[in-house]
Amino acid sequence: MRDMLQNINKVEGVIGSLVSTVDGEKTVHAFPPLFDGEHIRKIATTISGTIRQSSTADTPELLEMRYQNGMIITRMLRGGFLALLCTNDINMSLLTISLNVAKPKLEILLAESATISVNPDVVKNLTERMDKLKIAFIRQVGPVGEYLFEEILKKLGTAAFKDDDDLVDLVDLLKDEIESTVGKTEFINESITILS
Amino acid sequence: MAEQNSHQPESMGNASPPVLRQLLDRLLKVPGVIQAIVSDKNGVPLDDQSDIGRSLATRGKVFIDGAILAGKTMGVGETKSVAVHDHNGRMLVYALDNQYLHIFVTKDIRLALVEAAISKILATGR
Repeated sequence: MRDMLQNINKVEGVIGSLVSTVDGEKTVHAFPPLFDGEHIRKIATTISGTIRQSSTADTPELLEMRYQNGMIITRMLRGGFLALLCTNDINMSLLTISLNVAKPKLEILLAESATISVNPDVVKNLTERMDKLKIAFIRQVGPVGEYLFEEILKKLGTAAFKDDDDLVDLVDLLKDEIESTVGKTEFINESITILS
Repeated sequence: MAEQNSHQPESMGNASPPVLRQLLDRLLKVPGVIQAIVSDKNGVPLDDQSDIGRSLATRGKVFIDGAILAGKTMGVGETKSVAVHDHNGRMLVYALDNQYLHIFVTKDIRLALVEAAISKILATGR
């Protein structure tokens, strides 16, 4: 999904883009780092709320919000919407063609990922905590821990890491690799601190 | 999708009721424009108390309020207008000084041409 968004961002004048479920709760975005998770969450819920409040009969197909310094363009998708932040000098004809091509692909991806939360901020947070768990694990088992950690990740599948429950599963497998009872207890205690 | 997005209307916020009516009558003469009403910022029409007028103003207010909030979030400056495309036609909502201008446009005409004509009327009064 992010690859698709990054391709859309290549249209001259597009600053960033996001795809959201219709309720604005689950989003995938390709915005510059300056726009943090709070920006993304807020813009998705604002657009979602606006669409839902507008009417029960006539769902808009396209929204163009025009500003002094840019535009926010929202294209409805089946099951959600695509929102783009653009400069005012964007070539709308070129953008329309790009969106027409991208729309069916995004709708398929949106349907496939409907149950998967891929908010990059959540992923970043999970990754940071996973790294801390790795350090805690290596502290107990020594350098071989790096290899063991990667093997366990492979066993779980990296795509499985979506939320805290997945990290708990990881801790559960890691602790079984620690032979010392004291080490096992220390690792569990440190993991609780990392996950809390 | 509208091709034109840079033009902006002048304020008609201080227009007296007869002047406002004249402007709206001129807007209604633009090919493709079906309805044009002005509301206050609560979405209450100033000159058209019909059900259709109230409905257009209420819907327009939702979009322009959403646009204002979205604009503040993304730091894109003052909100100028919103264009809404649905299967019935297009709605334009302009943020004026203390009012909103809501215009409904048929689907079978290039929106950019309509917007250019609207902007000219708002800027010159003619």
